[in-house]
Amino acid sequence: MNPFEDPDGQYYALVNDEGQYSLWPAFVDIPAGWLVSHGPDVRDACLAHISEYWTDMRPKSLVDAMENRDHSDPGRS
Amino acid sequence: MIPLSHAQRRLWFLSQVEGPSGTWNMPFAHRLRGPLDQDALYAAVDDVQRRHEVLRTVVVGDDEPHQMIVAEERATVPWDVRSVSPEDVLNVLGEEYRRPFDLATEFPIRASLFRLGPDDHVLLVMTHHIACDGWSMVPLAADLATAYDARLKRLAPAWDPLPVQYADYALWQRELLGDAYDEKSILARQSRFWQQELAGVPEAVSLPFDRPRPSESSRQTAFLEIDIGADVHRQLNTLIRDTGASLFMLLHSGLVALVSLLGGDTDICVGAPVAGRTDEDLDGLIGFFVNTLVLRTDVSGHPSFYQLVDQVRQKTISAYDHQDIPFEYLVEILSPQRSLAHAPLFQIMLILQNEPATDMELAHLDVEPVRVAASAGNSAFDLSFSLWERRGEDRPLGLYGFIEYSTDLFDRTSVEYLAERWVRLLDIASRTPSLPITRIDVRTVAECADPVVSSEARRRPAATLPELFQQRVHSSAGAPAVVTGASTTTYGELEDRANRLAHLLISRGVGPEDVVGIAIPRSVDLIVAVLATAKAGAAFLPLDVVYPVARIRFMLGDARPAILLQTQVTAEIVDVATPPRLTIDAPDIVAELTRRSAEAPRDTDRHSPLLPLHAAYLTYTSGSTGAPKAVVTPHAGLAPLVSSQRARLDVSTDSRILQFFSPSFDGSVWELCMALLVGGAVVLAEPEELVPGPLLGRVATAMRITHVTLPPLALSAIPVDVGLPPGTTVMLVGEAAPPHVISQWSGHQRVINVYGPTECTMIATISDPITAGADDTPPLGDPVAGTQLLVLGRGLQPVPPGVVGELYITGSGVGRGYASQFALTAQRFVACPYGPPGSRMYRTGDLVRRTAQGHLEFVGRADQQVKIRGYRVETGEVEAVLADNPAVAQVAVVPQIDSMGTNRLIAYVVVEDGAENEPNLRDFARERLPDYMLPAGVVFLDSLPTTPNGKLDRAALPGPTFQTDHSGALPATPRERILAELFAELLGLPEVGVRDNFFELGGHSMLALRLINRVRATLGTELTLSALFQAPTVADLVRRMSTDDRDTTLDVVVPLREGGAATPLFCFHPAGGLSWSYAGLLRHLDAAHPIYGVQARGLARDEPMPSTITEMAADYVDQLRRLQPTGPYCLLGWSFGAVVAHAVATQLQEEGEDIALLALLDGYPGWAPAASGADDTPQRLLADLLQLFGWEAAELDTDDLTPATAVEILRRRDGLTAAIDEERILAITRIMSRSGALLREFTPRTFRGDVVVFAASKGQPADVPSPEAWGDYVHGHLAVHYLDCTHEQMTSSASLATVAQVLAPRLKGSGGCER
Repeated sequence: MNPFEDPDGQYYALVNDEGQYSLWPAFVDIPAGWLVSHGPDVRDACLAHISEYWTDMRPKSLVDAMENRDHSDPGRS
Repeated sequence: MIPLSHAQRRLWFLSQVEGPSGTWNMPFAHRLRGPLDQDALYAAVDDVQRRHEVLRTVVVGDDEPHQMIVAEERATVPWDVRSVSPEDVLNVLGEEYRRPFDLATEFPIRASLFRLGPDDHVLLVMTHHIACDGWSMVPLAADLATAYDARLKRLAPAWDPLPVQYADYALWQRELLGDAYDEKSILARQSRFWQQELAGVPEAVSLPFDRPRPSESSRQTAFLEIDIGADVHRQLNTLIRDTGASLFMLLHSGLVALVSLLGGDTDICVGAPVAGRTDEDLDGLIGFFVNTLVLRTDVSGHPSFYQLVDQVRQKTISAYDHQDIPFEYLVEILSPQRSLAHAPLFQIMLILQNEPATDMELAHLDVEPVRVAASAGNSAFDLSFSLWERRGEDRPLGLYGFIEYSTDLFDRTSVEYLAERWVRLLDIASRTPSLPITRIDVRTVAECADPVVSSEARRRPAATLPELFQQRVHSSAGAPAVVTGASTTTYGELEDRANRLAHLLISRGVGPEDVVGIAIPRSVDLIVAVLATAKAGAAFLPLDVVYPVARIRFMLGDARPAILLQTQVTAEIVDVATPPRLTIDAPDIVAELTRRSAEAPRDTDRHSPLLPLHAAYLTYTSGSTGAPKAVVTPHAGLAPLVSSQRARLDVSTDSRILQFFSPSFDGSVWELCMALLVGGAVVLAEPEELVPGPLLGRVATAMRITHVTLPPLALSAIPVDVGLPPGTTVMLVGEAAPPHVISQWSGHQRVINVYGPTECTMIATISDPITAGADDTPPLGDPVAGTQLLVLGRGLQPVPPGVVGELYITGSGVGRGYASQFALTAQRFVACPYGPPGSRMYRTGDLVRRTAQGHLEFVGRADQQVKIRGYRVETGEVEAVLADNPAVAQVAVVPQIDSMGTNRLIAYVVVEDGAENEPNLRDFARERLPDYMLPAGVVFLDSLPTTPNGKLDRAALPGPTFQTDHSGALPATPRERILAELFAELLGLPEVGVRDNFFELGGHSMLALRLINRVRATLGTELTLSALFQAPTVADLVRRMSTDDRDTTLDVVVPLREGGAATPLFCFHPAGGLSWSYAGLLRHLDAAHPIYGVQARGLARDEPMPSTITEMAADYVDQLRRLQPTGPYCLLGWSFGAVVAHAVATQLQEEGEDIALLALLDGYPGWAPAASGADDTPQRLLADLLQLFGWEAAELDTDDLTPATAVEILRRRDGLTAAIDEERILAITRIMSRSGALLREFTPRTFRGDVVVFAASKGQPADVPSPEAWGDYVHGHLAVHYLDCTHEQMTSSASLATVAQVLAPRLKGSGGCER
């Protein structure tokens, strides 16, 4: 079974600096650049947390750029 | 009578089943260097046999075998003594190893002495397992040494007599274990334990085999040395102290973890031997005591090595507590799925050898053990691991041993990798026993050195779609951008139009992060709308106007576009109140566009600057929860993709790219980018030209296409002789291409596999041109620029090559997510542990495997997603839609492979209690789902079958029966019958009713083309695709095809097929007068031959009927001559018709005509079968009539039959509507009755020529004449063919197929004729 699909598993809700969320199986080390926003908890609770707190799917750097046009140019490297 | 022990009995039984073989031989071989006293050796071996009764025991009895012990003085060991060259000795040993024992007449021991040179010998003592086991080698060696020593001194060995013999053990075991029927016996108690412990064990273990398991194991094995270093040994010893587990348990835990990681199973059985010498009195005994324990481990979840060891420890202890039951007995009582392909209950054996060393010391000789098995292994197991501990002064020095592996399944290299991974796993697990085993990376050191993430080093600056397009406009404004059959639009013109529309959109408030719906079919307008939307900064959402309105409304409600672009035509189709709509070809808009600026919008014109992370477009894909979901794709992934298109697909400014995919599918974006962002031309064709088939190939050639992207099925629908322009780059997408398609096309075209989920900017991998041989699975390819691929196991650890893992994609192509579906996005677009900090990877759900050559191979899906005609479909979405029907209580939608090897969906439905009728789910679904998501079949069940843990038991679902029309009309007229058979053949169904819709039964446009071809070949009728769309049932098609024809079905001559130029075949009616039953011949005979049925007078109207068969034949001769004035004639008749055909043939001959073919189907002179009026009461005749239509006599209540009820029966089931009414039924019964009478009075004349007779071989009544009865009336060769059918079944499809097969060459030889 895919580790993201275990109905009985323990999970985290992770968030990165773009404000993007990721479900994450608790038995796997948390990847660099991600913080625990919720958990460990059951899967549904983590997903509920994500649905509640993630409200804008645009990456944060894009939101910043749209709000402050002098800001850096996201996606251009 | 002394019984066999349980183990012996089972082994005896197995060897009986197997026949003579060396399977159970146990060699004991030693090289003896030095002065050998041969006589002392012979005597010593005899001494050992005398000491151990079991070695002088034969097995007698057939049903219940028992031991017969031969007295000491009459027993002697047979010897084979000869000289053998040292090079040959291993071969000779191998031969000897394979030589069977006959247990009933031979002792289970024999000896060989091979003389290699002076003072150099090999001694082989061969025993049968029934009398020996591994531990027996210790007393064997000791006793042989003692006896040889004594015999050297010419003494008898002075050993203590054995306390017990094997026969005592066998009796004692029977006593101890007790009776299986006694609940309290050990046998019964331990049986219960094992029955519970091993309930539902998997049939066979999964591992990355090099070859599929053959249906019968060859039992061939080979050996590989294995070594576990001192470090790991020491770490394991530390763990022994920490856990209280034994070394065996740790090795076993590691093995189970490895098998799970490599094969994906979580329920794993491993076998382990136990000595079985539970009493020390048995220690000095030779005999079969060893037993095998089955150790079953649950590796599900993510247990740590500690937890696994703990489980294994408990399992092993309880197995030891129940070790008295012989394994062979266990197999009998559990009777798992028996198979010749693999060993029962477990296929992996683990042996940690703890038996004392079997070093033998013989006086004055240097003795060295010789391993016989190594040259030719023989085992039923997939893998056997045998290990010995190496110890010095109680310090662990490592373990050594060998893996015996089945060469059916494994190559040596794979077993080497397996061994290396096991050692690596034991190393990691013993150092970090708290780590979940699913997290262990078992890749070898070399494999870890390969980058997990392979990517193209150079990163391109991100760009937006308008920027990329702009570059092309600047460099080639005059070059063709869009080509249709009628016109060409240049880059400059396209830019001009798109800019004006973009400014109009901006003026309506549209900007970045807005969505613009586009309901415009493939056209220049569509491309203008797409570009204009991007230029305004918004994301485009193409909507396919052929989708159900409900689905379009859902998408509009879900994506909430700011504006909907449409044309005057589509405005009528997509009639919605919101969002505001803009009809781009409406006069006022056209006028407004001319006033707008033709300059490209700049960031200063847009409502906010357009950035690469802004959404470029939305694509709806099937969603498992019942509603489609919108994938949001930013601009950022486009530039790398386009660079890969250019670099790896040879796309250039000269390229002409066919726009094949529907605009709502992101394949169309792939095509547009390939052309317009590189500088080539998009080629637009008419929708009907894009239907896969010959036309598509011709259009592609006429339009000089250089690049085309197609699902494999669409490519395979183009006839190879029609082809595509030579050198075309054909990109296959959507599903794995069958090897034959690739081999057919790769000769003249560049065939390339492309793969990618919508979530990752269309395409993630592109293969090199494929030239694969016929058996290879095409590789997925290498990642496109900026994209990396990860193959991860269930602990998100990278898996080694050859092992199936799930594909994850990371890099710039990964999309933003599913619009407004935050929780869903967080489940699929997940944190990436192998990329830059904070990066995400997309979880594809595709199971893949990296081959040893480094290619990525698609293996299957991890979830319920299926591809239908290349479209992604979540069965959950179809289920959710069907479940919305109030009459549906439960539903499961399951993909099934049809006769063409393609997927189709079958819905299994449980209806709500109290629902009156089975709901018409197809109509219900059609209003809500696009056609590729419609179930091809609906099966109604009382309940859905479930597995013990409550999941849907897919294996228990019945095969699909299709929801046919409720009137159940089956084909009746010849044309209906032939069409229905073609429908059924192509759809892979047993039968099809006349009112069943071809497309609803799973037909799709590609199958439709095959149908058209088959109709042409069979009926000689040209059917068009549009005709089939408008008349998709058999009944509709027949009506359509016969609009120009008068109804001929009851005429004396009914044309079953007209139009061909070759000799016609005339088929004469049976007793009932109708000739429709010959329609089944059409499919199997060349369409060049017209086929006519000749029917009785009096069917269509009251008219004079012939009073003799001679008169009837004369009438038919006149009819024939109207259609074919001169011979040679081809004639055929069944039953009564056979006699008529013969009569017609004799008359034609008498008139001087040639007969090229006379075929008689189970009809004989003077013989009237039951169904031709032998007993001509009206009821009997009606019953016979119904039998002619395929009814079984037993189904009919003969006494109550009237013409009216007969018509009713025929109408109800057989769908006879127009042609047959009560009056016709009466006419048919009259004709039948008359036929019988005519037949009895008729004597045939003599036919001069060859005759083919087809005789029924089943269910023939006693009075039926033999086919040779025709010999009296034929001067010529009588060729008789027996068909495996009854008289009534002579005109079934299967029978007529055989008849046609025989007749086809004769018919062909009949030549043409003047008409």
